[in-house]
Amino acid sequence: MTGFVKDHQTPGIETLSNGMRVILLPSTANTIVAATIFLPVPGAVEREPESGLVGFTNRMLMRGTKALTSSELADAIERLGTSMSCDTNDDFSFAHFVSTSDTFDESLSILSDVLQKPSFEPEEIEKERQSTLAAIRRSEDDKFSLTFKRFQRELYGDHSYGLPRNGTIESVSEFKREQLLDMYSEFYDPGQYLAVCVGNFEADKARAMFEDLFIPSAQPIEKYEAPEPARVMPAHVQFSKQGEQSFLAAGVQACGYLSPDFAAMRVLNTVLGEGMSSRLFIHLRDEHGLAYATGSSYGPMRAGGHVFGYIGTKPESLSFARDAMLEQFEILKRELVPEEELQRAKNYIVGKFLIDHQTNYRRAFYLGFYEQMGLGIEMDDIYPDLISRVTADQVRELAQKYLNDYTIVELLAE
Amino acid sequence: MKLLGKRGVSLLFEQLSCGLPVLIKTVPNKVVTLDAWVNTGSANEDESNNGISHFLEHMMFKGTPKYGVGELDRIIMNVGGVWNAGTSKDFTHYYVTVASPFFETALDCISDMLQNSLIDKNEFDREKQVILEEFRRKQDSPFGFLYDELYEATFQKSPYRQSVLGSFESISALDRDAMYDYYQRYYTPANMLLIIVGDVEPHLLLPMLEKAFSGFKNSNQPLQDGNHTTEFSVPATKVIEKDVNETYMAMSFPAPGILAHEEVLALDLASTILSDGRSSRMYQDLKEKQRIVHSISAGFPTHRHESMFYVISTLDADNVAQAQSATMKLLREFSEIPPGESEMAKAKRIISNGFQFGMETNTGQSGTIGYYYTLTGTLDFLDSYLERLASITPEQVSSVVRNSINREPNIVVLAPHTNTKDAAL
Repeated sequence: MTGFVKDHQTPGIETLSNGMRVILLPSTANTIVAATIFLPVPGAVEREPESGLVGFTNRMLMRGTKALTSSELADAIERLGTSMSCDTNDDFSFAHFVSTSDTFDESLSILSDVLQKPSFEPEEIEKERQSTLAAIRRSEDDKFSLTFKRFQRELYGDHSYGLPRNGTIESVSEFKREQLLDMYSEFYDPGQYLAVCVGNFEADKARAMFEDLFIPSAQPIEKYEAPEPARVMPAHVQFSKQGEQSFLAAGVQACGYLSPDFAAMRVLNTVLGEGMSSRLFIHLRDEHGLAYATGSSYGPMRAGGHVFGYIGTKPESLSFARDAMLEQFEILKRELVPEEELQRAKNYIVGKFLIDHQTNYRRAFYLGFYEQMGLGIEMDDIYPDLISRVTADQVRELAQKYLNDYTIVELLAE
Repeated sequence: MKLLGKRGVSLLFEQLSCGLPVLIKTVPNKVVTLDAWVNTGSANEDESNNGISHFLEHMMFKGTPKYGVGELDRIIMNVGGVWNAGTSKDFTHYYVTVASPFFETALDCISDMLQNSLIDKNEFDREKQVILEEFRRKQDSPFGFLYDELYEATFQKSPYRQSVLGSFESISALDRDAMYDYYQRYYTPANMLLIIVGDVEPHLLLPMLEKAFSGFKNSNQPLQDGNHTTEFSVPATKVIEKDVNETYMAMSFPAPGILAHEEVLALDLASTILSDGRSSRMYQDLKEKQRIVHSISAGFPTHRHESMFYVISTLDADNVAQAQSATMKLLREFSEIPPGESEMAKAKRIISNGFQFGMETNTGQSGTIGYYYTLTGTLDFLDSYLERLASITPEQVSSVVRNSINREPNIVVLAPHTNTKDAAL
């Protein structure tokens, strides 16, 4: 029982004459408006030598249009006080902005140019390359990122879900302008975009703007959908880096968003390692004082997913921590989660989900996300109910089904 | 109840019978946040107890006579709510967000925690190991490590030089009885503030609040406010080598505390013009044009007393000397030639919009309100912030930077294990 009550009707999806689909949810609660455009350009389309290409292409969209240089574009956006970016994940890309209502029209016009008239100037490509390479090096200075990157690689093998979405030093160093242009012409078709606006704007005007500003490709593109990842032989990998703490990630491939197991896996992960009352937190942190950072994470995607536990601890505690963590996995397979604990975990998930709907940006993201993933916009309404129906039996069955043959990656401090 | 704020933010104010000030902001969004601010942080510590405020923040979740260890979290989780807490140099705060029908549950938990935490000796000893792991984690985090080193290098005598986490030695030496004494001394109605933001009817809350805090007593023990001084360290460069791939560099300058309102506003604007966004001066010059840094940001973490203005960049070790000189050149030019009206208008818009965007969530609102109220003792600065920002002139913006950089910076460089020392020096 979380007591949360939704304060709006879920809007419908409209298809415009240019093929673009739009979800419009006007509100006058404040003067802010958020727009998110979902692009059917999944990071998972990348193959080994071009890891990071989708994200790189998206960031290049923000580096100048046919009318504005990179710095002019940045100045035009920031002068409005608008925040705008183009991002990537495994299953889709999304371009978004948050503005005040008085600059919505201008912000949307700029985003339209960003998405449809990018310049891909060679000099800007070099600047983005340096920036991305530096970001990759910085991420390798972070133990969690470094361990997780290796864990993904070991867990998914050659599947694109195992590639770092930011790319590698090797791949990013080799990107050519032609690759970016090919990627852009092959996948970016406004006729297949899904736009969501939430906040203080006029629906009729927004609808007309999306219809007028976005021109569909002459030949519709074929959507890419990642295949289900194959199971990979479990590995136990160790590598080292100087420092004070060792870091461990241990887990398995799990179900994705489209699986009937999705809701129960979300609950399983919460019982295991989300929040201060989770099992990893209580046993590894509170009882044994092994770590500050410990927990588990469930990363569902369209065609698969993973669940893993993590802990950062002093080197001499690593082995004990690993055994203690794996024991918690095994208990989930052996024993039913007590009803009170199960209910608490479900309430926590639903409460966090609803609290996360406070901003226009997050509301827009949720609405479009479910539709883009093939779950339908109504998932935003039925998600709490799906979670509430998960049973202890389901959680144990899921643990027995998935929590086997762990892939373990250990970053040893030396 | 008294209405506070007329220009930027409006709130109801009530002082409970126990002396605890309460600020209430009604937002009809079905959610309510209770955010308790305590006027103490690492700046109230000395070398012997450095880290105690942060450690105490952990211990506050470890039980009261009414609720056992972990129970406060379980109760909130049970109603789909979320706890959080944070310790800083000048303050500590605890906040909980729940669906508005569970306001009383959240109030019961947070009021019990603030007044009746046990700080059990066994729990204290166990949690110390967790804190030491948090310390190790920070040592391995380039930005966390650099930030602490920068504070230590910048503030020669001010208590701001101390890390919020404490040192390995000071954390190890902390004992339970000293913490309980600290808790009794600082966690008192007169030294705290409760903010409630969300879907509530203020007049219905008052009896509940009075009841929840009816036994809350003030302490007659003196509060330690640290030996604040505007005496900054002698400018110097410190190079530390670690197992990192990038080089991280921080440069700091003296800056005013929050009570110097006009200077704070001018320095907020200066930081925005210098490094907020891809069209900012530092981004365009050092990153895009000269290509000598990979990322760069100017910041002004405003404290109650003396503060600092800093520039942090990431770069290749070979470019350290060049980036230092280019940063100084840019800052000197900025301090000599005031920014144009167009640049000023853009910066004001960015800050104003950022302010509005940050107020979209209950915790965004309670965080902003609590920060300004706790540090200044009133709502006036926050209430007039945007209005006064609009009247800041280009000359004021240049002038505040000129005052900060009228001496060489303190510099900390975190570099990979190579021959970077030569490059840095």
